[in-house]
Amino acid sequence: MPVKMRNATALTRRRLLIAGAASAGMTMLGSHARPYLSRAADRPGITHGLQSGDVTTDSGVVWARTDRPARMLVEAATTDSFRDILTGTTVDVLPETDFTAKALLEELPAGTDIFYRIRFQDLASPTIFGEPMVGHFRTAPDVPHSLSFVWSGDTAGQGWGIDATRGGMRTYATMLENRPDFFIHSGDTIYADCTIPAKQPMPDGETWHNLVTDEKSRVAETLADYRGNYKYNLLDANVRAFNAQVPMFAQWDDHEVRDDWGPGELVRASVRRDLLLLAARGCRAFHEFMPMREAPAEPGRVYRRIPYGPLLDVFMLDMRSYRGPNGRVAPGPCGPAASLLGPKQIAWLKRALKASRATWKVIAADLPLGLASGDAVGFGDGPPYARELEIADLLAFIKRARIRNTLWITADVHYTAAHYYDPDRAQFQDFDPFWEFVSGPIHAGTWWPSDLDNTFGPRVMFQKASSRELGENLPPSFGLQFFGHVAIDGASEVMTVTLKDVGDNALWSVDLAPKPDAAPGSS
Amino acid sequence: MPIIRPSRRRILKLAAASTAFTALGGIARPYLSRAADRPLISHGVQSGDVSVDSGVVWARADRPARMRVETATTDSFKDARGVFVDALPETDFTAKALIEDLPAGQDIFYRIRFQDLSDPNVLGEPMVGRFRTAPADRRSVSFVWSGDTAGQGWGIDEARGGMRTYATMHKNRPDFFIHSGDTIYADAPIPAEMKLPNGEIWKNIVTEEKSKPAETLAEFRGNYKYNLLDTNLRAFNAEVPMFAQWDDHEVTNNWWPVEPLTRAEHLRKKYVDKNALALAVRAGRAFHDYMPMRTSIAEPGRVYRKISYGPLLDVFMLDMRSYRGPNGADDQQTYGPDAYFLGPTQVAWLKRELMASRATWKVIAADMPLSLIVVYDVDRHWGSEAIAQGDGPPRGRELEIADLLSFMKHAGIRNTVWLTADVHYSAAHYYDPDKAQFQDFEPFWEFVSGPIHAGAFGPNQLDNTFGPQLVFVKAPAKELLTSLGDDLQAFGHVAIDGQTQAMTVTLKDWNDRSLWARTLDPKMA
Repeated sequence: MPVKMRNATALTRRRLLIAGAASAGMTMLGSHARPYLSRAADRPGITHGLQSGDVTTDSGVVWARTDRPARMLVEAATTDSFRDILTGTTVDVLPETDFTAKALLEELPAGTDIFYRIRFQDLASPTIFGEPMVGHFRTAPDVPHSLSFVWSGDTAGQGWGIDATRGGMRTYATMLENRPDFFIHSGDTIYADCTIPAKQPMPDGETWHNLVTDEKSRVAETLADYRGNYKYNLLDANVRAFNAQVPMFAQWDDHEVRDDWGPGELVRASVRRDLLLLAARGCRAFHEFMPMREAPAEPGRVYRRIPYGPLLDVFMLDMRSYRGPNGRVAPGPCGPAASLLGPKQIAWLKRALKASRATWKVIAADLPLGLASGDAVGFGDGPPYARELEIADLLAFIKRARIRNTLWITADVHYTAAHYYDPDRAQFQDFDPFWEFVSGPIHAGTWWPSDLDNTFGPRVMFQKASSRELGENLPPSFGLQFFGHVAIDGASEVMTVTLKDVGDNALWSVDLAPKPDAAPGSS
Repeated sequence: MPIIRPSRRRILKLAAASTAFTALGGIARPYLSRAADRPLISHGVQSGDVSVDSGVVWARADRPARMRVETATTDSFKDARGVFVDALPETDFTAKALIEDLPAGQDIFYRIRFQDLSDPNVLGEPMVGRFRTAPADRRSVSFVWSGDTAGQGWGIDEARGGMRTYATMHKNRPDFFIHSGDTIYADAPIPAEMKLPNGEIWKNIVTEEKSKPAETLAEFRGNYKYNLLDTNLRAFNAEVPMFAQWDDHEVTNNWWPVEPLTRAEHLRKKYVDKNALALAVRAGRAFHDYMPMRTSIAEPGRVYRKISYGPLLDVFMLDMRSYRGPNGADDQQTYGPDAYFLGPTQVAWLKRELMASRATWKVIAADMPLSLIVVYDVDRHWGSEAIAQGDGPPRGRELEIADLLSFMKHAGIRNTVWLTADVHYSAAHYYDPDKAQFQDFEPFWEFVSGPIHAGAFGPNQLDNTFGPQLVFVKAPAKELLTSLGDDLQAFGHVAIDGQTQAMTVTLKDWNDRSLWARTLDPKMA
């Protein structure tokens, strides 16, 4: 089954964006980066394109990977001519990070297109510089200015990898056509536990032909395997083109480690003892390959707030790292065994929501709240139990603290839906109504809908999925690949949420008018 | 030669099998495995970069492990709160965490243990360290500084008490310690024996990694591990937070970025790589793995930073290594890349931060002195390794310093003091514009200390560009040069009085003898 890895150098030379390559040189980068370009054939390459992420009004993270020990040189400017360079920095790259490097660019102007140029300097021969590559992101506006973003999840799952004859991971191309200001990846950025075979039969009798690599021919165990999963996805031309233009806010779910994993699973005798070791490797690879900020207080932390100007705060959650066991293994109505976000993250989220001055507070979750699932929140109909207690407490807090205009977005279930949570229909009623929008997969099998759990009274306002007739695990070429689009109007502050598919068809849409802030004493 | 394994000796013994880890979440159960093979803390604990509300803690395990840290304001660890960080081979099993939201001016106790990632029921024994957060009010503070650890082959001779200066500094109970650089001597192997001037034999603990000049990442890391074999150092680290800086010997003697490694001393050291940058990048990674420093992904390898230490003190840690132009004649008439020393980005940062500082005292921790001539290529006796190159108006790297000093004068930045090490002797320099070639600056002090544990040198020649007056010096007599003489190991002590805000600087030796002291009154705006 495993087929030889495709020659990686084929990729390195392909340039995503051609931008005044041999331009003014690297004068901003210090005395040693000279405008001299070596003629040597073997210069350090950029192996997997560029990425940016976690942008705010004045900063953003940029990312690249090279093929040897090297120094990454980064410059940023407001034009792609790089005439007036705003800032520059260097990051040294060694095998310990698999030659990946990221840097936070700071003190950028708000609401501005930022072009960044990256090249690598060979540490073995410092006069040798690789060719530059240019990427772009837009900083958040610091005034109420219209903005838009997309979200989805579930990349390269269930054996559906890159079939070049079918256009590769096409949803990325469609999302790019929407020209969003940023992209929230809701998790399952890889499927570490799903191999990518050379061929996969499709329900219609055709055969899906995958690009294959050695690392994707087995379930990930080693750090190299985990890294190989990210590298596989970055072989896709759509993904790389998207990454070079659209900053990502990355989140993780279970498949970055193992299906339905959580540290709490260790209570089960059947679970392998070294699950945490796999998780540590998975986490390291995730942080190496995702253009994320880091929290020195907890270097592996995924949850964070990304302030995006006066109209929007994004709260990225981590429903994996701090959870108790799935299911009924260790019941007990509350306490560590029933936690999902965990007390520390909950306390952070309450604090951050309360402190938010943004009109809209988007809570990006890696799992839906109201679908019954042993792995997620919903435990089944009835009053809050186990993990639902944590969510009930959070929702009640949001109501009592008069935090307005929260909405939840997620992926995970491999279909698209709009859920309206209505306390009047709920078993637990101490909360203000809110929306949850579900999208995905980006590029994975499509499933049929999950059962609703009535604890928080969700009502399905829309959904599009596979069905029992169509079957489970539909290939991406069947067109049931989804992403969501959010636009906030700068003047009216109205948020329009549109659920879309890989063909860029708007499947369903809703306009949400912000409720006035219940400001008195809300601080 | 014998290889010494990291000592199992524990630095602080306390209620080891105490109440377990209920604060750490659901997985860490009070169950302590009986397994004989539990994850160890291999090199003690460290803390650093403390501020009024935070501090970094550090430890290293002996296998893939999850570092669990609890912090509390009492060593009973009532009301402890916890965080975890995974340690994998990619960081040589080192882990650090920034502890935030701490109360100001308080003793903070932190308890670290490792959980085996291959079997989470197996928890290692805890080790406890402490640090003190900076005060939020005008309370007296004190700190020590020095540099140059384990240089010139002088390693750990346990019969002679090991690295005794750390024990002496510890006795002073400082709030923190500034290591001014040369935290290791990557290019100076530690042989089994050294000869003292009196004919006696100095017997070093030796390790494989310290048997040759460091080139690989493992060898650079081995240098830090060597120093952490010393009991005095580990006891000090467990109780005194460090503000770490680097100089040349974290990489190799007198290096500059992209320097070709072709000087005679490089040939003697038999370097495989032929440029300093390749070494510097590995060395930088080891330095950051092993130092309890804050890091920023704006520039992950950055060493320069400001550490706010309450209303009385801001500390500006400089990096005079990473951004410099080539070492050479240092005689440029105009400022440009070849004359860079801190480099324009760092200079702009320093000016901005000095301007913004509201602290009474602004301590500028430099890894090199401003006016001492340090020869770059000792074989050819040529070139400038530091800033100074000889009397006269500012030239070369002095152009950058002249600009900085005159900026400070015109911006009305008062009460700056420069601290450094590097030259392996103690001195107090008063920079007097009236005696200077370049006069557009306010007078200031520069205090030099060190070595902590290395050969004694000096004194070096002063350059009159900035008018330094040699107010005090203690350097070895000729026959003691480069040896580790008893009273030539040194550190500096700084105490700031909370009431008067006066700063008293005392130069001390490793017997805790005060060599010289001066009290400076702050100028008020």
